[in-house]
Amino acid sequence: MIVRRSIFICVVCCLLAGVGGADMSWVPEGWKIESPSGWDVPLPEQSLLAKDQKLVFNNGAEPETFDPHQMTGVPEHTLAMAIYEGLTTPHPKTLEALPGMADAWAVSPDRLKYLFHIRKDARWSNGDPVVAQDFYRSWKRVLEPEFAAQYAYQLYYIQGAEAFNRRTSKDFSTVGLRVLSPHLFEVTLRAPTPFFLELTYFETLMPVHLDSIEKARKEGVAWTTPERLVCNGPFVLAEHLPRQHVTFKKNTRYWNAKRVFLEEIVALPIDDQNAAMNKYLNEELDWVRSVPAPRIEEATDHPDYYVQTYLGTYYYSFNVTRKPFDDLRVRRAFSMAIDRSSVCRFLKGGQMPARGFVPPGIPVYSGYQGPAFDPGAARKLLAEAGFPGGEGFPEVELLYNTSESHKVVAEVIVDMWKKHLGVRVKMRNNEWKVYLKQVEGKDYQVARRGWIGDYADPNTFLDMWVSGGGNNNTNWASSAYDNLIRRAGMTGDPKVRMDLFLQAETLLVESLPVVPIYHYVNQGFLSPLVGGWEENIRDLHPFQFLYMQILDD
Amino acid sequence: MSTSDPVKFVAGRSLWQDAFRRLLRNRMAVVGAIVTLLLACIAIFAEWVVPVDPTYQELHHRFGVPGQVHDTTPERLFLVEGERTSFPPLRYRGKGTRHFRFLVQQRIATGVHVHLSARSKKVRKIQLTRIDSLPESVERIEVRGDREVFRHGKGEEEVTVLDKEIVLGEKLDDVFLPLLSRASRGRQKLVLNQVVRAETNQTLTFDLESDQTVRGLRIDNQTVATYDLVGRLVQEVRRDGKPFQHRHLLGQDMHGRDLFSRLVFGARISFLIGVVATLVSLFIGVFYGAVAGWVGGRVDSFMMRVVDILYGIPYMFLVIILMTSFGRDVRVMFIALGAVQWLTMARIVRGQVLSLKEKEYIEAARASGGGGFWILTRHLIPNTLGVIAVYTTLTIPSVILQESFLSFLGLSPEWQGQPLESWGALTWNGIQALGTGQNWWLLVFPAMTLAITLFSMNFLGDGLRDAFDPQMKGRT
Amino acid sequence: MARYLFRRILFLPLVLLVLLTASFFLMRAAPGDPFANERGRDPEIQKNLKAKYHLDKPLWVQYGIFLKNLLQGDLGLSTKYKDRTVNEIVAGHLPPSVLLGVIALLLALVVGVATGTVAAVRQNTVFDYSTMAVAMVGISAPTFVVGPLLVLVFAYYLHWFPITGWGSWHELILPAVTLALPFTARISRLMRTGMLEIIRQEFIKTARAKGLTETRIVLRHAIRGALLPVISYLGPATAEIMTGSLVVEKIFQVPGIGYEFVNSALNRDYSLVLGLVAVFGTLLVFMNLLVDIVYGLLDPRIRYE
Repeated sequence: MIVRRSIFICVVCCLLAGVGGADMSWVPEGWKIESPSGWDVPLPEQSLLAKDQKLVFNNGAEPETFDPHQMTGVPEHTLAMAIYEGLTTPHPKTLEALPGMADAWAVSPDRLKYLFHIRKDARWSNGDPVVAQDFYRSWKRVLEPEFAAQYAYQLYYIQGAEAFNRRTSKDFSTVGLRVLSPHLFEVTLRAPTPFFLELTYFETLMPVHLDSIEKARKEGVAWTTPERLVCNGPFVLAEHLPRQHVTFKKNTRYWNAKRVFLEEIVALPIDDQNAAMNKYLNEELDWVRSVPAPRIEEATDHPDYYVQTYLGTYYYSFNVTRKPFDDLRVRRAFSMAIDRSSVCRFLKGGQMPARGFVPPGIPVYSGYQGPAFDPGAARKLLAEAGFPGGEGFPEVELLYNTSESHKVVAEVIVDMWKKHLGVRVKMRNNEWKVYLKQVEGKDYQVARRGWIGDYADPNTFLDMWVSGGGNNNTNWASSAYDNLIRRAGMTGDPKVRMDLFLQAETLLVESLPVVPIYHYVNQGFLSPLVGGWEENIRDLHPFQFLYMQILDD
Repeated sequence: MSTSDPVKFVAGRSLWQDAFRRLLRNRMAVVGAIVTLLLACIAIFAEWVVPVDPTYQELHHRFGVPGQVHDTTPERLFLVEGERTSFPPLRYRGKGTRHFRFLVQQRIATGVHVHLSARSKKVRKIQLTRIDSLPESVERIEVRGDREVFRHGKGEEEVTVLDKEIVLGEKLDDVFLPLLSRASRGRQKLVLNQVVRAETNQTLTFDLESDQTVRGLRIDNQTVATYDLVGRLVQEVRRDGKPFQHRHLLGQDMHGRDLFSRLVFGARISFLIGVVATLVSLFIGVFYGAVAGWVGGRVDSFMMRVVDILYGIPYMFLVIILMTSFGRDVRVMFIALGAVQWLTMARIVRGQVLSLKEKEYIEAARASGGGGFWILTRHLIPNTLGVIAVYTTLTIPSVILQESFLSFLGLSPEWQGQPLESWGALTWNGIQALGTGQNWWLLVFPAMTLAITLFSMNFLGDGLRDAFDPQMKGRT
Repeated sequence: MARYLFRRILFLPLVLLVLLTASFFLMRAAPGDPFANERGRDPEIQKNLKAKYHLDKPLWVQYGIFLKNLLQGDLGLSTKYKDRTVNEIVAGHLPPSVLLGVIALLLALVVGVATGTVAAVRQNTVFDYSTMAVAMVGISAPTFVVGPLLVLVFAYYLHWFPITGWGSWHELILPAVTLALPFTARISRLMRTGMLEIIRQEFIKTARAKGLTETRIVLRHAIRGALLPVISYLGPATAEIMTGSLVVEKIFQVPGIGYEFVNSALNRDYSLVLGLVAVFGTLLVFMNLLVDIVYGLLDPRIRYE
């Protein structure tokens, strides 16, 4: 029934668009061109393309903003990918950085400098050319302390960027960005950052059209309205009716417009998963990105249901300075008393039991498996810690933010702790904002947490646990760990780097400031009429690769 | 009617009887009263009504349909040498004989100690008997007093069996005295020692007999040093050793919890919120209104102006802000919902007091030297009780409805971080699980319960109002 | 009458002030802040953000700024929706809410008054009993149960309407009916009692004696008096419709202001919450005033001081 992938005929699109492929005189001596020559993505067969190239999908929330530099959420990010394009654009399947605004790039031998060649045919939707200066000014905007971009830290890998953003340096010229010519943009990193190219398609690093922003500011109006918004992506914002829909139309000025098949995209902001699913079943939608937990059996029976692993880990975090979880044996006992496969079986959505913190799916990283489910050993450990059979165990509380799905998991796990350890753990749910305040203030004993990777690299899961890290809310501090992460950040050798990460993860998972429970999945419904949609671990589905197809029976 | 009419006193005294007679004539109101009382009793005696612990999850029976009968789910349990662990509390309450089955899996085990915790001191008798037959490989040769001799592949073995009735107060084995002293929260713990032999994949069945509700079953292998893993599954079974059958009258929810039991406990929470919030509004409203009416003049008009101002406020919005700001603690909810309701109460009580205070007996009380507060609490408020009763009956359902409304918005009440599952919350869960109608019972039964309750209480309230104040008949 | 109205209008700002002040301080006393999210937070960035929204100043200064801006009609900036001011958000989301509310209220009035009148005129007939039974169900069945069931039956199974959505008339019907149901029921009951009381009075008997037809009596003479309790109910009904719209807008994903309210309170979007409270408060207060005026016009016995 599902013909989604079978109708491809593998025509490789070798659009050596622009100049990058031909003229290589801009590449400095000894630097290596590392960019793929074009989009290595199969093209659909013309005869199977539907006449009406309109995609309607549920984006799950009303977008908070169309300013890519102020975005923080997944729904906004999805829309940003339609209307903006960074230096690179992700491959729909492998997530490799494909040429975007830059048609080629070169890397210095020490891997600290990247030189991007901005394609000559890159245009803004108002006709202005996209030049290196646009990226320079856009990234400067993100780093301006006054602009207060919440995701400014995505640029901290650039030399001097962190200092400028934190006001320790007032001079922007100390930041490693240089415009060599209108089409050459040089970036100097503070350390070799293998995932830097992946970051360049992240929304914070997308360019904005500063002239139109400035003009709107002077007029005292918002620049993000459909009439004013100037963008450089495959689509333009055509209509925005808050809480009703956002409509995008194909951007005819996009450099690769002839490769874009969809004419119109309608994004709905339905946050009621039940309503969204019913709308899908009622054939009002082509794509829904969630499944309500109580209806998982119904969903999995549906032929259009999909599930893909996601680059994220659901975990419980301990406050390691509070009794009784200051004792490693207690933390270990709690971890070993969790039957993760049972939890996943209950969730039924294909979630993977997690014994390590870094989710699978990251290329060339093996990962470390922490202690397995062993209630006997868990009880022994708890007894060694002075609580045989849970006797005399102090009152502890598990904190989670109010949500049915977290409650479900908490109930199952608390039940396991009771059964296997004889320990009664109270559950406390708080509203999101209150919960965040408690977690940030380390005002908890055990807390539910989740982490979604920013890029497919162990670093995004491991560098957060360094002593005093902004997301390390466990009070866990290990100088050995900090040292491993620092060395991994410095080394240029990929093998050594991965080895250091593995050591770090081992240390983390054995020290148990956190108990991984499962790795996230993305579930939803996708109509067989949508083509070009590929599974990937970051749930990124660039719209320029999607198309509507007719089904050959 | 003239206020100086002495007959008024007589009429006043028979007002309640009069009203009661009028109420009895109103058939719908009587039905409403009966249903309300019945629900109130269920709410109060919830523990005795439910067949199953409402929090007990049977994950294998997610979304069990109403009326479905299935075996009770065995509890998984892991036991390790030198340690104690306990089964979850006994789910099926009540007196009489209960049977339990242990499925022994994995490794060879030689004994099980079973400890029973009783619910109260009233327990006179608890008896544990092993009733199943021995597996073929193990043969019981002889019983010597409280010791049994078994023969199996490796030879003969002598095991202690306390297969007898234990009466409260009887001195138990010294070994178990420390356990007795650990009895918590003043509850008497009876300990019974049963040592049995078991082999891999053998089923052991026990009889548990008690004249009182038993709270928990405890497996203890602390004192036995010779075996490692003992049991894996425990299950309540029937006399014939087959699993207990259990009927879920109204179906099961997504965690396999019994909907009927949850509704029964939900009644308690919904009624509690309805009654307490109404009491809060009564307390504020009655005193505010009474004082305004009693003092009169400028104070009265000022106080009523304040009520007018507050009437113009979209109160529910403040309640929502309050609940989102200060958490969803049920106490916040009591106060917030109570604060919404007191205005009407204050107005009505004030009106009553205004008309009453001109009455002669009040004059008399004043003349005889009674102070303002004394007259207010002794004469005025008691005489407005009829009206207060009417509005209390009408306020409770409206508070219950408001609570369920808040639950729908995701602001269900909780106590110490634990959600309290009121009818509103159950209805909301039902909506979420409804899908395209597959799990209809999860919405239909809570919603019907809620509607029937509101229905009955509204009829009762209307009937009471008609009975107490025939003039107001029919006015909402 | 004029003097009374003048005094009522003078009261308006006072009511709003009480409401907004209470909301302001309640919101600020709540734990958590608008910019918290799961990602790491840089104290420096937080400081900048707070300065942008004046959240770094002492509370009373913030209150002052809030009042000053409010007087100039400026409701401030939303911390969540960064592209739009609160004024723009309210302006965008108010029309659907008002449309829905007005249609529901009209529907409730028309159907309620009609059924109530007929039930009274045909007292103790099958029509009377069935209307009142349905009305009692309408009052007792919560909106949030009726809504999803209507969606299931009429949208999912019968395909008469889309499941959710907004923009055309047929997307308006289900939410309006859901919202109107409890009010229709109550108005119907009020109308029936009011009518029963009136048609027993002397002047109706006189009219009947004059030989007027029953329809004429009801329409010409009785309905005016019988409407009074219905009119006085419209004030509280408006408040209830507003709260009801929170639920209906959530079920049907109507892009109204009610929908935004709970979320913005949970998100600690201070300006948006206060802006919405101000709008709801103003609407309610004006509706109450309107009800008073209509009541005065209909009932000659009422004399305002």
